[in-house]
Amino acid sequence: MIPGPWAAAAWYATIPFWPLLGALLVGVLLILRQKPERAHLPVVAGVAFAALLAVIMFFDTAQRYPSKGGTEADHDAGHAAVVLAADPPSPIRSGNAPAGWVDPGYTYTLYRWISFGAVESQALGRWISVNFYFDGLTAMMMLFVTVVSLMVVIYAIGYMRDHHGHPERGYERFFAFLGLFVFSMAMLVMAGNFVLLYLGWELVGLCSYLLIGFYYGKPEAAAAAKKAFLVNRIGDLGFALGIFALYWFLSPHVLEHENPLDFAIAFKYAAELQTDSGLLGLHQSTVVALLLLCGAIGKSAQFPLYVWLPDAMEGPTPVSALIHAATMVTAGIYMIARCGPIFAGSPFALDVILILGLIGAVLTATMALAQYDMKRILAYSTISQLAFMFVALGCGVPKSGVFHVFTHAWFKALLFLGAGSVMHAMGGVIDVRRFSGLRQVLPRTYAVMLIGCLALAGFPLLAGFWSKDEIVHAALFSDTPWVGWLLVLTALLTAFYTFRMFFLCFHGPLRLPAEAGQHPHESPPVMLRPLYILALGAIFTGYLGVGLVPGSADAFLGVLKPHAGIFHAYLGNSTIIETAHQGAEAAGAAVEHGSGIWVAYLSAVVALAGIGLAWLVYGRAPEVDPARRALGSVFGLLNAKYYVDEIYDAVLVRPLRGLGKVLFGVDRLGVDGAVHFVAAVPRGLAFVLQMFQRGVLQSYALSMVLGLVVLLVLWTVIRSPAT
Amino acid sequence: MLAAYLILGSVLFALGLIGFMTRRNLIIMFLCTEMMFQGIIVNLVAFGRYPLNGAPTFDGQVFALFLIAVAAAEAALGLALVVLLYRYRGTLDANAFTQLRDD
Repeated sequence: MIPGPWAAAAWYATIPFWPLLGALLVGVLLILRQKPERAHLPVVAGVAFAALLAVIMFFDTAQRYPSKGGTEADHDAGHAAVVLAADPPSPIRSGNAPAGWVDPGYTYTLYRWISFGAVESQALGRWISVNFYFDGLTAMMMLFVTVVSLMVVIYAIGYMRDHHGHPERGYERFFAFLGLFVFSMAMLVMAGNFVLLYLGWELVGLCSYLLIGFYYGKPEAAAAAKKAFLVNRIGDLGFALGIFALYWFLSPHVLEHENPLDFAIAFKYAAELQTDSGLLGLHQSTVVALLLLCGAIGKSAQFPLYVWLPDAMEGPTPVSALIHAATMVTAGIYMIARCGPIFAGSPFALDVILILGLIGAVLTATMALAQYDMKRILAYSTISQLAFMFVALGCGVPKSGVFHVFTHAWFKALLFLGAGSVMHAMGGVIDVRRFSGLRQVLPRTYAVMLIGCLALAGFPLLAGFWSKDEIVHAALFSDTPWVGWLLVLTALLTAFYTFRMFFLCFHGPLRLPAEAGQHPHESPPVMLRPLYILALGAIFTGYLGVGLVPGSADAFLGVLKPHAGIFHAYLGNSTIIETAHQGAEAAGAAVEHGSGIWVAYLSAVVALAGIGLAWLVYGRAPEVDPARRALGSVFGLLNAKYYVDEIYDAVLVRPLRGLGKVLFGVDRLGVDGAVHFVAAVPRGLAFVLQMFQRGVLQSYALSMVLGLVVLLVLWTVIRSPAT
Repeated sequence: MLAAYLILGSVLFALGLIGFMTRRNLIIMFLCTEMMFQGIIVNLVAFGRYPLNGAPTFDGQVFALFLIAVAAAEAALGLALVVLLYRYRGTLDANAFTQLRDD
């Protein structure tokens, strides 16, 4: 029943449920009133087992999809092209429509969940199943989702304690939510149909609400949790409509027993969506793609719905790391990559993705220049990097975008957990103006943060360099090279603000806030060891996307060829489709012939320039920001984040709140008023009758006498005509 | 002559009724009910003595005796209840006993 290489699919299908089991066990421990110190054990064990299975799945998938090179050209280049006979044919990688789509994945069905359609045809009717979809993309996503989550969960054991090592209040609640979060993300990634994807999608939204608002007693935290939830709801509405639209458009085409919401089915018929939708003259695929995009914008915090992500810093630091690296924000990128056959059919939607990504990348990179909150700078960098991924998706090189998701997860988790380590030592202070020179007291944190910052800045040969370079490369060689130049500018800004933060924190004279106490201490090993592992990831994961070019020894960087690693071979056997839309093939060909290697040098120079500039301005960690004087009012504008929150407040929030009040009033007076009036009539009657039933003897007697009198009067009146 | 008896009976009954409705003391109210009984008994005896048509019968007297027996039984029961209520509440005010009302 199950093809050979997937014999373990039944085991892989259990991956999401181990963290869930851990979270449930925490709940059981709570009921049994066990000591909260042990609450982390079930969750860590659950996530660890899931991570183990995911790693096995990753290598299993690698066996199934041996390295064939990322593009067709690589075959010609003579790469080790071991193709198993059992291998499914590769999907079409170019062209606008996925005509001739061949499902590269394997769907494993756990059970049939919801039936729809006629009741009598249930045997043959359509079912939404709980099924999981396994392909290269799933294996790759699950690898970093579970492993990075495991690091975060282990780190949280140390982080969620006070100075005496006692668990913080709500320790067990925290770990239960973390387990639920990992479960949700795993469901999202492994889902085999849109309904299950939506389930995971909503669950991560719920978990982010629970965790951002973990310190719910703090008004800012409660507000941030609400903001994250509400902003995400706007996107999710579009996402849900997109799923409905997909069902609506595909239903006439699919066979009796096929569920158009299953990935394999939906993508098989994606070519049918090239007809007019009757809506503004858009193609059906464009309508579906744009609606799905709404969801991705909300979850992945893209312009214009990015505003929730910086505020989400109010949650505990491990949560920030989880949201920014392994869960939640990667969901949008993943979803667009997963729905490749649909998006590939809509050049217009790809252009929208490209434009939104560009706006987001530049806008938030400039905002990050003028922030003082360490975690907020990192948050803006996340948005900016996610925007990079959006540009990659829009440029028609989704593999590079997903590659950046992958490398970004490692170093962004590292950066956040490192920032958490600083915060831990500084007694909760996170404002970079209030401390400096921490290199002297936190040497280990300093070292891992340096690696993380270098990776984020795109320092040569670290993870971020390779993945970012690929995107810049594709954009520069597309039919719109100015996009690439804007990305180069963003990369420069990224290097600059990353090291602005780094130098302000770790260099210069030792300065400590009063909250840190006399002897700020390095974090305990339980927090540092996950950092070391993530640092390894930040250094080496980039090489998954880099291949060797045999015979091209013109330069050192030329030997290591981007776009050619096992990563791309891997993703070649997934639902990801690289389109010819923006000339991705040209980019690939350019690298192939060595002419595109200068882009790698350019990326290296840009990163070094940004870091050098940051050293010049902030190298001595001045207490007063030199950029503030130099930039003047522009700095104020950047510091206030272009007043986007205020504009949203004035343009959207206030009018909507006013409308809400009006509607509330109408509801209260009109609808509720009518209901209350109807209820008041019998109550009034009852009140009148109650007066005769007071329990006072005389009143009963009086009513009897009055009744008697009435009877006598009636009697006389009725009798009198007769007599 | 009948009219005089009937007037006496109705006066007794009316006085009893007014007393029952205006007084709060359970004993007084109890006595007032007895008074209403007496008014009715006077009426019954009068009808027995002066029948409205035909020869006089003893129906009225029989009913009167019957009613006296009922009144005696009611008095025994009623007084016992009054004593119990007094023990329970320490008062004989009728307004104090409203537990049987419908809420």
